[in-house]
Amino acid sequence: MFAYTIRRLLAAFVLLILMSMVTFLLFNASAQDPARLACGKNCTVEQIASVRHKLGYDKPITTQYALLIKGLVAGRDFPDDAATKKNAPQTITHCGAPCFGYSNFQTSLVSTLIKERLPVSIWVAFFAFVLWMVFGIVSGVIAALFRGRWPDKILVGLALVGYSFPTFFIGLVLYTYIALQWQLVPTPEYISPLSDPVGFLRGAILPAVTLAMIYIAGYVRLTRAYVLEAMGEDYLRTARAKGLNERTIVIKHTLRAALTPITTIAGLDLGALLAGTPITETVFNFNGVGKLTVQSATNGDLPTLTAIVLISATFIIVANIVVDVLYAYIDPRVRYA
Amino acid sequence: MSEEITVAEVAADRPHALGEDFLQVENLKVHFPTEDGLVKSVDGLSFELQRGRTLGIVGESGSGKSVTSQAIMGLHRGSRAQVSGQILLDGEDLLQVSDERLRKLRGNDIAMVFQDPLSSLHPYYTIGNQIVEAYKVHHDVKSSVARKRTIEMLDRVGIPNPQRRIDQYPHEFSGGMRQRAMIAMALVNDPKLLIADEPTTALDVTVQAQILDLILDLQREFGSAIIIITHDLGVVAEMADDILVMYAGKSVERGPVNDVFYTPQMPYTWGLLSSMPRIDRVREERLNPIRGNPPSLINPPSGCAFNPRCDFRHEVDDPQRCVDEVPLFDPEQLHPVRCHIDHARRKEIFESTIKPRL
Amino acid sequence: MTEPTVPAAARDAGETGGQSSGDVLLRVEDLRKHFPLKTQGLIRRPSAPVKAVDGISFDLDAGETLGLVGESGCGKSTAGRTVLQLLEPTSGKITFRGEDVTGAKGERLRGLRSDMQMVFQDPYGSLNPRHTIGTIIGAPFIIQKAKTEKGVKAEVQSLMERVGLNPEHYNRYPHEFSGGQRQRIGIARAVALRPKLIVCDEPVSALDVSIQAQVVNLLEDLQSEFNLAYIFVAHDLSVVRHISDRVAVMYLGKIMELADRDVLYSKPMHPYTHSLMSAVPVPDPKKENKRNRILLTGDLPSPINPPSGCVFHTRCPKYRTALSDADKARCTGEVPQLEPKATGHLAACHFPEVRADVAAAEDAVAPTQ
Ligand SMILES: Nc1ncnc2c1ncn2[C@@H]1O[C@H](COP(=O)(O)OP(=O)(O)OP(=O)(O)O)[C@@H](O)[C@H]1O
Ligand SMILES: Nc1ncnc2c1ncn2[C@@H]1O[C@H](COP(=O)(O)OP(=O)(O)OP(=O)(O)O)[C@@H](O)[C@H]1O
Ligand code: SF4
Ligand code: SF4
Ligand SMILES: [Mg+2]
Ligand SMILES: [Mg+2]
Repeated sequence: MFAYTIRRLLAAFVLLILMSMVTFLLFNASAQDPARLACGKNCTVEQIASVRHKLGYDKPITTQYALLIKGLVAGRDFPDDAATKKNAPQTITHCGAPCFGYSNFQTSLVSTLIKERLPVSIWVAFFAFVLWMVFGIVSGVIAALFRGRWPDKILVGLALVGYSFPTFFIGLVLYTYIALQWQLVPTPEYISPLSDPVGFLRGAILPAVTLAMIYIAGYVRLTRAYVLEAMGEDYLRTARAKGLNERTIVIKHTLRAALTPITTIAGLDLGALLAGTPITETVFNFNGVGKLTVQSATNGDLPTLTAIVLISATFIIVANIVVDVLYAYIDPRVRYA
Repeated sequence: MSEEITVAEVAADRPHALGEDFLQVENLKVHFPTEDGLVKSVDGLSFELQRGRTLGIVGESGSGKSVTSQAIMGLHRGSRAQVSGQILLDGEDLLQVSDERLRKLRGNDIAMVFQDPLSSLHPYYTIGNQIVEAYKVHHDVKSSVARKRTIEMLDRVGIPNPQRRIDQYPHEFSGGMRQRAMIAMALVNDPKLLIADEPTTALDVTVQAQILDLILDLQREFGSAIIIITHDLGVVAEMADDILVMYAGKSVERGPVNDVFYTPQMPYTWGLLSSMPRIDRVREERLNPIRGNPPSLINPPSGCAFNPRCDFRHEVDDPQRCVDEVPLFDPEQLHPVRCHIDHARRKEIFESTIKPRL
Repeated sequence: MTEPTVPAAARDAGETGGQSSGDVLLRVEDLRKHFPLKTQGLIRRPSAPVKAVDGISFDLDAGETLGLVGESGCGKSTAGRTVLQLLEPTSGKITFRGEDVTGAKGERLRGLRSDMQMVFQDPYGSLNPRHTIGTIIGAPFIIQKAKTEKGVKAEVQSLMERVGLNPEHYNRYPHEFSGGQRQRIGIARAVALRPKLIVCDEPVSALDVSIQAQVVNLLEDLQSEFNLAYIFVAHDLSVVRHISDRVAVMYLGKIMELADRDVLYSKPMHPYTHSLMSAVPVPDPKKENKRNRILLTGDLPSPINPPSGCVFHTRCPKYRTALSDADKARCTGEVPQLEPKATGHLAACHFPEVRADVAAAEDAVAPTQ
């Protein structure tokens, strides 16, 4: 198991390196001059040249990539040339590891930006995750236990309704009615849960609910299907034949089998959300990575975009590994295979 | 260990005292409403069983054997099945008792061994966990006590190294060991009635012999009543004291094992016995399957359900009765048979035409 | 470790058992199939493989049936599949109609496929539930681009009739058929291209006795009609006795005993065959109560690490109770060859012994007994 984990981590590392190369190449292969993009519309030729030099875009592409990696591991300086360092050390900006580069648009180091924004996205994603897991799974189990009767029909119907509205619509409706019109919750804003947990819950409830809504629908149906499948298994007949009570049969025998595959899907879904949710964050004006993505994409902010791509990829890959290892832990048949 | 034991030794001290009926099934009906119509899987079945004795139920695939055993376990409760009749266990009607009472009986007084041991064991829990659980539902004991009892049971059913094996998962057991574990689980509470639904169908002969031996052994020890369901007439010959032959949800012949094997009376039983290859006889050139197809359970043939496939209708005084009138089955007799042919005539036919062919 | 094969002398001498009498359709020599095990750990190194089939040899004539019996997991299915080249043999030689076909690939393999077919145990799992049975039975014609006189449909319908299915059911789906009927579909598909050899892997194990009898009769009829050869895998020894001309008993990837049907069932020589025979329940209560039963204890050893010498020695009743220490050393140290013994049939045991008393077929012994 341990060796397996290590092997997966190594593979993930290689995958990330490849990802970074591809991202880097794609962005550099685009027709636009990165220095010009970074400098903005009204730059003079000299300004562009200086930006180009400062950010290292004048170097050969392989060197640029090497610098990017060096920055990630050890940090780097802008501009990174010996002459400037010696003559005018005060003009050098140091960017500590992990350095994703410098964003001229935000006039800030990308890493600083990410450090600010990432917690917002992560906390909201976790909040949503808890909501959808609890409500999705509970409703799914209830629907399965009452298959064909009214609780089942209502829950599955509701899930379908939730499923069919687009995120921004749900978000806007919640914002307008719950927060503004009826003022049931304070105006959504991000408060760090580390400093004020209750404030965080109150401030982030609407975006979390919005995100959760889309997933709940899927999870109700998924849970219902898996529970029904498990209920048809021979080993449940055995459990009944032992004389177990219904509660043990449902909780210990049915759910254990039904929820195992859901763990996998949930882990991957969460991994994909951690690196930001552009629509929700924009609707509720949360300064998370999602909103940053939208801004960077409209501005052509290459360093920031590269960083976001790499970070999302990392989250997804790590989520995959965690899920696999977790799965092997939950399902003994995988553990020994 | 290779002492050669004759099966007779095992059988000799099987308790044969014909006590009171421990299990009495009276006019049991299990019907399933489906889109195509009402499936009459079990349709008026009666039999009884005494403590310490073994009843073998045989019959074609789909004749209602498993549905009957599930009805005794109360496994149709809460499903759309319509169950009627009486199932008296020690005088208590299992069809009438409360859910709670039934739960107490299940696994404790009545236990069941299923056909496919892999799918019947929970893949995510260790063998030990599953047996301990079965013990603890019916005994208010500490886990350590239940665990000790489990190790003892695993040892009892011949699993080597039970202290280590108890913590393994079903997929780490071989087919034969899984079935042993199932048996250990079924017997952990010393049930008074054990139902084994095709307990060895998934196993090869060597393992099958071990498992059957084990069941007989345990019966000797605990004096339980056993119902064994199977297609394999060899298994029945080895295990059963009495045989019940089912066809289309009804009993068609019942009697002590020797009577049914040596002087079977019902044309369907004749067909069953002559369709299998006999390893203990001179090899025949050709097998003799029963002609025709199994009957529909939604629209069973009128009269005797076997009539479309029966070659002996002309032996009835008025062959039309086979189509018009359901033959009676008198459970009071020692060897009741559901057929219109006159009793004496059936014996004649068997002696003259069937016996030489078997 | 050198493994035994049937010694050439035994073959040429035309001994009963290993050698068939008529024209040889299939010859299998020292066939092995080892499944490599995947290793855990960072660096993959090849580890001990599962020796599912470990050096088996036999001949099969046209129109003959060879029964293959043995405990679950002893390699019967693997042997059948490897012979058909559904699995690539690890080593050994397969000669079909005088031609070495070991490791045939591509076009040649496809050509072979029309002569060698397989019928599976699970009559439902082996039929695609989304295809009509017309499509299923007709598939071999399409795949092999075989020419049919009156078109595929007519051909399929005559096949359906031949195996006892109603040709009008051409457009029905597998789930609309009973177990026995599904097995007929599988058989119709297998005989579609008039093969010469069919490997039947437990074709009747899932069926009840009456339907089993129908299917067995059908297989026999087709055999005489098309001069088919069968390798018939089953664990029901009575069915194997009924259908086979010769029977091979396998244990842990090797053949322990190979003999004509009547000889094997009346005069088994190998201790493993003895216990196998004695374990068959006989449908006769009185005989059943009188029989001697030699129960094996323990489980089949792992085919990754088979026991040394005779692979059966860990469970052999004779080894445990009747042998001197010197004899035991021979069992554990020396691999017994599959060679003709006193009765003339092949057995792989150092201390074979005819035991008619354990044979279930007590009063059905061969005329010579
Ligand atoms: N839940 C159900 N709904 C509808 N029909 C059912 C149900 N359960 C069983 N049946 C039908 O009842 C009949 C009897 O089934 P049962 O399982 O008792 O047969 P069996 O005698 O055990 O056969 P086998 O030997 O194949 O196990 C079959 O025709 C089956 O299709
Ligand atoms: N693809 C495979 N990879 C690894 N091991 C395998 C594979 N297929 C079969 N085996 C192993 O090879 C051995 C022989 O298997 P095989 O299926 O041939 O047995 P069998 O005699 O047909 O058993 P059964 O009677 O249960 O069908 C077993 O130990 C099995 O686990
Ligand atoms: S009642 Fe008639 S049809 Fe039924 S078994 Fe007897 S003779 Fe045959
Ligand atoms: S060689 Fe020895 S161990 Fe093997 S079967 Fe013969 S007597 Fe038994
Ligand atoms: Mg059944
Ligand atoms: Mg097999």
